[in-house]
Amino acid sequence: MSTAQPALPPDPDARHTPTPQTGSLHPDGRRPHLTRGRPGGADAPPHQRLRLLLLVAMGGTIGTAAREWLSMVFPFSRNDFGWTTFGINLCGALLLGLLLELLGRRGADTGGRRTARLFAGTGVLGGFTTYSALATDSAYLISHRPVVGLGYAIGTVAGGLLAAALGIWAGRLRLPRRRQSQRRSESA
Amino acid sequence: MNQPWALLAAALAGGAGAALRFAVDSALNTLRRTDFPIATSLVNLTGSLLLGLLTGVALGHGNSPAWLTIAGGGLLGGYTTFSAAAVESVRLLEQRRYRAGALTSLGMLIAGVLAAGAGLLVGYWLRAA
Repeated sequence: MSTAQPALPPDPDARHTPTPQTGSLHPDGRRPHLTRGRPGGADAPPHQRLRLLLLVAMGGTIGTAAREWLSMVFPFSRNDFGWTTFGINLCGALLLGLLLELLGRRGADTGGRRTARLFAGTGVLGGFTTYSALATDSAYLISHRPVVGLGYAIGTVAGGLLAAALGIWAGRLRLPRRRQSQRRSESA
Repeated sequence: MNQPWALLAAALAGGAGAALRFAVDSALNTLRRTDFPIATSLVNLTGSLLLGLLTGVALGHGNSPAWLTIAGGGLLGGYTTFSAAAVESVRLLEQRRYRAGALTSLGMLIAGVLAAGAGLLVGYWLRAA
């Protein structure tokens, strides 16, 4: 995220040093990128980077298992609209929008929030959804049944945008809680 | 693919793929700090090309061999991601960065399908050779 100041020092262990990320979360609508920014781990010390990498791998294993299992339960032909992948990708987009919005609302991308984002977002939902299957199935389908193929490709991307927007919107619906905390800070 | 071991192997491969995606993203982050989600695009395009290639090769060997499930659905499926691309695009559009948003959604779709199609063709050709 460009709004995160590049000059800030690395944040080796967020749990002990919760560095405030001024401007990167609120209130201008810009929120941390899914896997971007200092908390991504690129500038974390090696032991920390390994922990984050394993976190993502664990989540990715779960997400991929769920996707493969669904593909087994709801098999589809290469010559047809891939409803299973379509549903997986749209659900994943919705849930990721919701997750990132909720985490962003709660505060800076550090400590437990970063752990949750990397495990559930980058790992589970990132592994659950897939772009390579979308692209490959679309390319195959377009060459055999152009209308169905184009419908599948464009339908997935358009549906994914709507689903992600819906998830983000749902994440902003937590008004009662926000009002409460605002009231508390006002009276304090 | 109905063998439980292939599903397990695919899941573990997907975990490795997700970690690889994370590593690519982190590496690109240190090289270049940009607002544009370049890492997701790069990951998705390379993954689409490779899955096209594998699928092209596999189509000659029955419908879905176990190695395609593991390397394709598992490794490359976990490596590439749709959800991040969708959320990133919505955020760009939300910021009224329409060109960037169109590039990460429609542009990536076109590039990804072309990459996968090229991979499929090369895969067919490799299989025939």
